[in-house]
Amino acid sequence: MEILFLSKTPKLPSCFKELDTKLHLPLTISPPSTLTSKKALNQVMIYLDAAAFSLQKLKELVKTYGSKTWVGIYDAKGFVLDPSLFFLQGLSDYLGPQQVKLGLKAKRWQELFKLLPPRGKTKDAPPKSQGQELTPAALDWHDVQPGHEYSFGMLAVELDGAKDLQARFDNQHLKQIISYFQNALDQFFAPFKGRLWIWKDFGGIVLFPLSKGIQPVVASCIRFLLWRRILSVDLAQFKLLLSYRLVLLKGKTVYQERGKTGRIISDSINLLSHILGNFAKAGNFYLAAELFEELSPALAECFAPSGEYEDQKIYRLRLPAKF
Amino acid sequence: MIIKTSLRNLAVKALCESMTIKLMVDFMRELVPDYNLHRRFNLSESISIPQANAAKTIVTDICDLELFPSFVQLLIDAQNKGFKGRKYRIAYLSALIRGLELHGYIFDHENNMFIEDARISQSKNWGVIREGLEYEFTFLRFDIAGNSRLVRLNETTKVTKAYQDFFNLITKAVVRRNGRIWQLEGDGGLAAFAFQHKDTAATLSAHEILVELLVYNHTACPLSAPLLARFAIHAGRHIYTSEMESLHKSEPIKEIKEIENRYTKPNSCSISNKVLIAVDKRVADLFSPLPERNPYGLACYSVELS
Repeated sequence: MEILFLSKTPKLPSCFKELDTKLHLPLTISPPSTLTSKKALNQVMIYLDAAAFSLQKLKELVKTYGSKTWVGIYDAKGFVLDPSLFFLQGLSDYLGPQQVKLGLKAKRWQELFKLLPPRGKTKDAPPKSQGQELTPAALDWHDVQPGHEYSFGMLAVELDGAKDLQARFDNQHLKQIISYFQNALDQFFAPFKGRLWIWKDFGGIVLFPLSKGIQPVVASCIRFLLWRRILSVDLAQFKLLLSYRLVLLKGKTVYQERGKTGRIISDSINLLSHILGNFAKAGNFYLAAELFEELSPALAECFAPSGEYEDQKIYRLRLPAKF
Repeated sequence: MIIKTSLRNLAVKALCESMTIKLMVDFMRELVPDYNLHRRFNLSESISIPQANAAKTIVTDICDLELFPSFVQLLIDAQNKGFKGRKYRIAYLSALIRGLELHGYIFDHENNMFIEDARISQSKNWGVIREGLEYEFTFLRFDIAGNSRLVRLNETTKVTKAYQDFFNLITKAVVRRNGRIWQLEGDGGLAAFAFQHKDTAATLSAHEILVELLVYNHTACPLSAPLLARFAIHAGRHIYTSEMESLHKSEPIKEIKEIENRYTKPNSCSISNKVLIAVDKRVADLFSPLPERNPYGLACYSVELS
């Protein structure tokens, strides 16, 4: 589960502190405008700062999102006089002035999460296929408008062994290595209209429009992985053998230009990051099942089932003994 | 290669302002041992030639013999290291170097000489290797495995297309690393590398082609079975000649042929120990020693999905 706190103030209230420090749940603060009726939220609990919305708006949001996900109200100043009315409309939690002042312990949060009713995707429900909803596919970059939602081919990529790299190279050299790696990504994926979109520390996300289908993108990912020694030797000033992992799926997100992506909430991006961070092994390339099904039999031969992650069947590229 | 008039004039000025006629001729004789300036003017040795005329004729001859990059190289060496025991200050030297770069030459620091920039032109001798002289080369030989079977089992158009794709992959990988394709036969050929980490360049080229071929076989190959090839890498001294007939007489080329034919399996690359020891470790690690006894200390590498 993730927590999304919608507030006008960018500072996280101290009552949420233990969510992060003890329960290690991903916590995002976003401005109130981030939440639009287009958003599909899965496994995300939203806290609305009562100071950032009118009572009428709060009611609307609780009603709209209360049935799709879990919604809580953070009300440090006691604007909401009758919280029980909100609970009837789907509210899951209310943090009044008293709780905010005293702070909330990890145990309280754990109890709350146990009591929350199921919302969104459950294991019983068949998994929704990413990108099969009404969201239009991004066919070419000139059709893509910032602020609108599209489905894309999404490739998450990250250099392996971040700790080793940090121990081995100083910041300036690390920057050079990362910049070289980013350029390599650009060069490899530009012919398929792939654009490096988000970058954080040692990894990022490349978006592909879907006009040419996914097959050429998959082929270029295979090439990119198997070229690691060539890329390493070409990075002449460092005696470094690069290793990186890749995860490709078809997903949807609101598009914002590079550098303005901080407020984006996307189930697909969450899933992609989770697969990359929690499932993918160093030096491998993984593919979501729905993309695997689109491959020609000859290209599909290159992949083998690799298990499931959050109801998604994942396939892994079969690798040569040495590459 | 055509040297523009502006660069020729600059070279003439450089010679006139930096050296005597005797020294100009000495420089020229480093490249053309029997060069005789007076004979070029149809004059007897006792008659003196004006310095500007001498310089102009020498530069014209250098350009006609396509030796301009080597000549500039001589001037660089004369200034930096000295010529016949003495260092000379050469006027306009940096301008000459810049001019040469604009003409599509790059300076190869490993060999300390100018070579053709492969992005601009790709002549078989890199624009500087001279006919009849012996150089150390690293060779990459490639051959499509089961050629006659492929021809028998597939339509001619498909075979032609697949072979064309294969040769395109080869050319791209070789030229990218400043190698040159010396020979393309029906189902194979030979590439040569002479500069800039030539052993690593040849090995990386083979690695790249094997990877690209693997992807090609799973995405675009029109044939009924995968297109497989054998690669061999070997090095040796070879007398350069533009006549491809004499290639077959060269010892390292005979050897590489044997390595490819006798010791290399389809879809793999063999490398002689002579080359492997000079290859960047990150690439050399791909290779495992060949169990079969052979005179070359061969190691091999293959790209097969497990």
